[in-house]
Order: sequence, then C-alpha cells, then structure tokens
Amino acid sequence: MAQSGDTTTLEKARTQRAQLKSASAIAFAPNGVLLVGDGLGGAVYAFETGDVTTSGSGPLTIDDLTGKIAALLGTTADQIRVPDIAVNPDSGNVYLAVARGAGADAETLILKADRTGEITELDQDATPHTRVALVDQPDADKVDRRGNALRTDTITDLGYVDGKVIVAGLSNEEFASTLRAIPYPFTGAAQGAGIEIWHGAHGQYETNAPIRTFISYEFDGKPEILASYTCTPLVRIPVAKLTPGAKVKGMTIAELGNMNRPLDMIAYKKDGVDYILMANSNRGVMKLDASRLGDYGPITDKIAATEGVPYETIEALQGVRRLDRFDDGRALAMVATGDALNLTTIALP
Amino acid sequence: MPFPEDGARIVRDGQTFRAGPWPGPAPTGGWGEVLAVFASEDPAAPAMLGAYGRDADGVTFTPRFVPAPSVRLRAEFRPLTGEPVVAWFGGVPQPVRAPTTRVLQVTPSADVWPENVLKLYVSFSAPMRIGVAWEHIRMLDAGGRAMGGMFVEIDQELWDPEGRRLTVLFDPGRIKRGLVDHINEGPPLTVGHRFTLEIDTFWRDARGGLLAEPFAKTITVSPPLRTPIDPAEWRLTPPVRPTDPLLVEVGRPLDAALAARAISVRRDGLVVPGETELEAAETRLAFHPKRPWTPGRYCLHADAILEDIAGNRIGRAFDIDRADPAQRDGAARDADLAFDI
Repeated sequence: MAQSGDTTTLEKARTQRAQLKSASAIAFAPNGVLLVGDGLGGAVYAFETGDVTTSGSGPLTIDDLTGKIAALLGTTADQIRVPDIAVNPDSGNVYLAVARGAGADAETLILKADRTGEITELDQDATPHTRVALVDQPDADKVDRRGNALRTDTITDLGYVDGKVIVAGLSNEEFASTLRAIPYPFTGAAQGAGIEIWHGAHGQYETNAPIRTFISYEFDGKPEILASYTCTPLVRIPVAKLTPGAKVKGMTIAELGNMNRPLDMIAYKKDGVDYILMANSNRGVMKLDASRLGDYGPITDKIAATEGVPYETIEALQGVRRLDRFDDGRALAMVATGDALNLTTIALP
Repeated sequence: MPFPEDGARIVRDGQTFRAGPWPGPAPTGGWGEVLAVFASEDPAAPAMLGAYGRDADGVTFTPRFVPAPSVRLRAEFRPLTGEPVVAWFGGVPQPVRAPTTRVLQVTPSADVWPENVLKLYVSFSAPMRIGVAWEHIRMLDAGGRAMGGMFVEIDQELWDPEGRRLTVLFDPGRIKRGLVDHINEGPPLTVGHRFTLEIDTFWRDARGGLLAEPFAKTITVSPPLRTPIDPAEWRLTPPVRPTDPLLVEVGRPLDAALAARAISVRRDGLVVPGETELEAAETRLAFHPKRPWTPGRYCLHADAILEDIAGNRIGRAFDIDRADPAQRDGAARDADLAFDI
C-alpha cells in the first residue's frame, strides 16, 4: 500500500478554520521560521515550524506535482495552484504554498515534502506563529455598491534579510506599490510601514517601480537586495536605506535582453566564484557571474538590450517558474512542462 | 453498527470512512497501513490527507477536505487476517454547467486610449478561475494577430478579493520613457493604430463553467498623456435641487478603481455619505448623496493616490521628467475643492 498522508495526530479533530486567506510567496528565516505572504489577508505570518533537523541529503523529484497534491486533497489537478516553493535550509525539507480550489475563495495550505517525496501538511493552528498586518492604504477597505472591498495587495516576494522581513507587493489598484521592511521577530501591533521604490532612467526620468522578486546580497560586507522591478531586470538597493516612509531609488546593474524579467533568483558559490541563477519570463534560465557584481552600474546612459553584469543562458533548463537553494551544490526548481508542473533537483551550473 | 465477524469491509458514513473489524491498536507504521483512501488512479499518487480515529471495532478516516464528488475514491483496508478489501466511492459525474458568466465591463471604457495607458480592469459577472488569465486574454493588432509582450504576466495575477475583477498592467518597461524596452520595442500600443482586446470563452469561471460569450473591445490609440492631474482644471457643477448629484468634469479619464476610492465629498471635515459614479468614459464624476444636500460649504477631496489611466497623479506625472523644471520636484498631493450649496 502506498504511504498514507496522515498529518494529524490520532483522534485530533480539525475544527479551526485555516487562518491564511492566501499564500502567494513563502520563504525561510533562520531557525526553521517559515514566512508566508498573505496578500488577500493583508498580513505576513511567521510560522515557527521547529523543523530544524536535517531530514536527508538525497535529491527530490515530484513529477506531476499538482496531480499528486490533488490526490492528497481529494480533488482534480485543475483545482490546485502552487504559487511558491521554499527549501528549509535547516532541515532540507521543501515547503509548498498551495491553493485548493479554482477561484479566489480557494483554501490555502502549506504542505511539506521530505526528501523521500512524502508530502504532509503544516498544521497552521498548532504551529506557533506571529502575524503582522500590512494595512496602510487610505480607504483600503472602502466597499463597492455590492458591499465588497475591491483593493488587494499581491505579495510577489518576501525574504528575511539582516533582521528584517522584506515584503514586495503589487496592488491591484495603485501602480505605486510599496516595499516593506519589518523587523523580525514581529513586535506588538507595529505595522509594516511602506517604502516607495523608484526607478531612474538616464538621470532624466523617474517613476514608481514595484518590485517583483528579490534576493539578499552582500556588497562589501553590507546587506543589500538585488531586485527585479516590473520594468527593469536587475537593480541593487542597500538594506540600510529601507526605512519606513523612505523614498528609495534602486541602481540598475544589468539589462538582460528585451522584454525579459526575472521570475525568481538564487545566489550561490561554485569553485570559489559567486553566481546568481535566475529564472526568466522570456529568456529561460540565466547564470550571472557575480564575482564583480559591485563593479557594475549604474547603467544610466546605454541603450543596449544586454548590458552590465555578464551572463550565460542555460539552455537545458526550460519552463522554470520558481527556484530555491536546495543545498551547496543543487537548486530546487518548479518546472512547467506542458500542462504539468514538476518539482526537480538540478545541479547548480 | 458493528462489523460482522465473518467479513472485513469499508463503509462510508457521511464524510467518514469506516473499516473493520480491527480489534487492536494502530500498527507501528501508523493507521495508513490499515486504511487508506486514494483520490487518484495514478499508482504513484499518495493517499488523501486526513484524520484517523478508532471506534468500537473499526478504524475511521475523515479526509482533510470533502472530496470533489466527481473524483472516484478507492479505499483500501488491510485487515489483520484475510485478504485486503478494496471499495470504491464517489466518482459521480457532475452535470456540465451552462455557460452563464460574462465580461461585464472593461475600463478604460473609452474607445480611444492614450499610448501610455498603464492598466485595464476586466469585471466579470461571477468569480473566475485564477491562474490562467494569460492564456485567455490578449491584444490583437489591426490584422487580428495576437501581440505578445503586452502585459505584466505575473502568475499570481491581480484580482479583487472575490475574483471578479482582474487588473491587467501593461508592461511598464515599454511605457516608461528612457528604458531599454521603451526605446527598442516601443510602447505596447502605438499612436494612430487600432487594437482589439480579446477574451476567449475557454476561460472558465471558478465553478467550472465556460464564458457565455467571447469579449472584444477595439480601441484606437491617441498620443500619450504625460501631465500631472491638475484639480484647478476640474469643473464642478453643484446640485440645483437637494437630490441632484454633484457633477465634476475632470477633463481626462481617471483610473476607475482609484477614482471610486480616492475621491470623497466632505463637510466640516466629515465624509458625506453617498455614491460616486463615473460617467463619460471616466472623465466625469457624479456624486449622489445618500441624504438630500443641505445648504452650506462643502469640499470635494481627492487623495494623493488618485491616478488617471496613464498613472499620472495630482501634481506628479507618471514618469517625472527631471529635465523639466516644472516637474522636477513634483510630489503627488491631496486636493480640496470647496463648493457651496
């Protein structure tokens, strides 16, 4: 008999509603703390998973991921979405943000896959957690004629950087979306005050620039984020500048081909050289040489489609939607192949 | 009901599966070795998640979620003695839902959009399936060819909480002046040309029904709108009768969602209850007070988050041209326009 997916202790009734209204981005902070961006619920959660013991060192492959999750949850694959994945660096287990249901009222779950591929559910109620609300929009809860609030923030990425949880969001109304840097552990009712992110082109034009994805990166021992805007592939922003109410302009350090935007990024070291692996909307997976990342930019007066940090395209990797560091030599990739979504371990190139 | 001594079986009682007889405690490998219910015919697929329990002489399993009725469930029970028992449940084909969901509205509702239009909203008559938008919505050129690279195709998509209204951002990298894609690829829409926004019927709603009809909206493109919103240009027509609306001619199309949220009427600092309607292709506001107007001084308040359809705000253009002294230090601001009744 195949292994059962029993995630609950014997006779434990599950009566509490799931707290998460959505989970569009997940990431790990130290000590097995899982950060979950719940844009629909206007909050970021930090779950203290206690999952800090190495669970194995083998690769992880789950073919037909949505089909497998659908089987676990008693439905069909077309009712399953997996918005994000995160590897817990403390245990090697893989966490998946999952929506069960086709519409906005889908149930939100966090699943955990161990190195054998067995998938279990994180019990949101039983796992100690803290929450910080992200509401700072004027009249954000103003309702329409049918009594419905229409505004939402979609959290496109989040991460733990230098003692802060950094949250990138995109509003479904204002273009000038904000970034938030919230000290962790979350304290009291402190809300994540917004930071306006700007983009400058050629020293002449300035625009609001929502961030789509980012990673932390150290330059000269100081923490920064390497971010992709909805309009520009790669900018750097010092974390020290991310203070509440600030107006921060990122510095463009690479152009990566026309109409190309990174979907996800990871930083790694191989044979003593720093690299960034990047899954893109338009140009497959790219490997950027990051050994002299601090030397590039700002790109202000060139109009070449590719400029700045040198990169190569990894032709063998197609359809990669999400990436995370798996271990020192490997990455975990969520790959779309036709209609199927697969989870696979790849050697870092 | 007790299980008969002579035969192991599995029954379904509401949402709970019972298998028995099982006289003892759980085996060391857990209850999953005794009873498992599968919702997939893929032999590699795991059993359903759920909670196990014991009753008088059997094992119970309650799935984490109520299984979809159309899914065929295979329950497997391994009794202490004798052959494993397999029983099938569910698998009831669901009637095909008649297509009833429609596109109600697309804003900007005008037939002419500026070249730098930043986003559009698509409102549906029922909640939609999320995660497939970019397969079903596209811009066609004048020859009917689908054009790629138009939108910010983020896989999370930008929906209202109910999943009825989708926000579609045009690629800002092609709209913002001075960026590589704006220079090399040009803006998504080009002045003087005709385009058609198309939504096909294969986009299912959240309950699985197809759209009742395809949607198409053809627009022509006007020059870009690059100046800040200036409330000094707004024309207010105060109501003549106590139940008349306040009319505000804005002179440019506003972002429909933000106009409804960012503009209010106030008196003595308090918000006057009422409804704001957008008219004339979002260039005119009509504020209908909930209660008849009473004489006095009022104020039309616009919050700094207000944008027109090209992302320009009050006092600040979408892309600030720092070479232009008039724009250099522009900051988005609130505006208050007083009027008397």
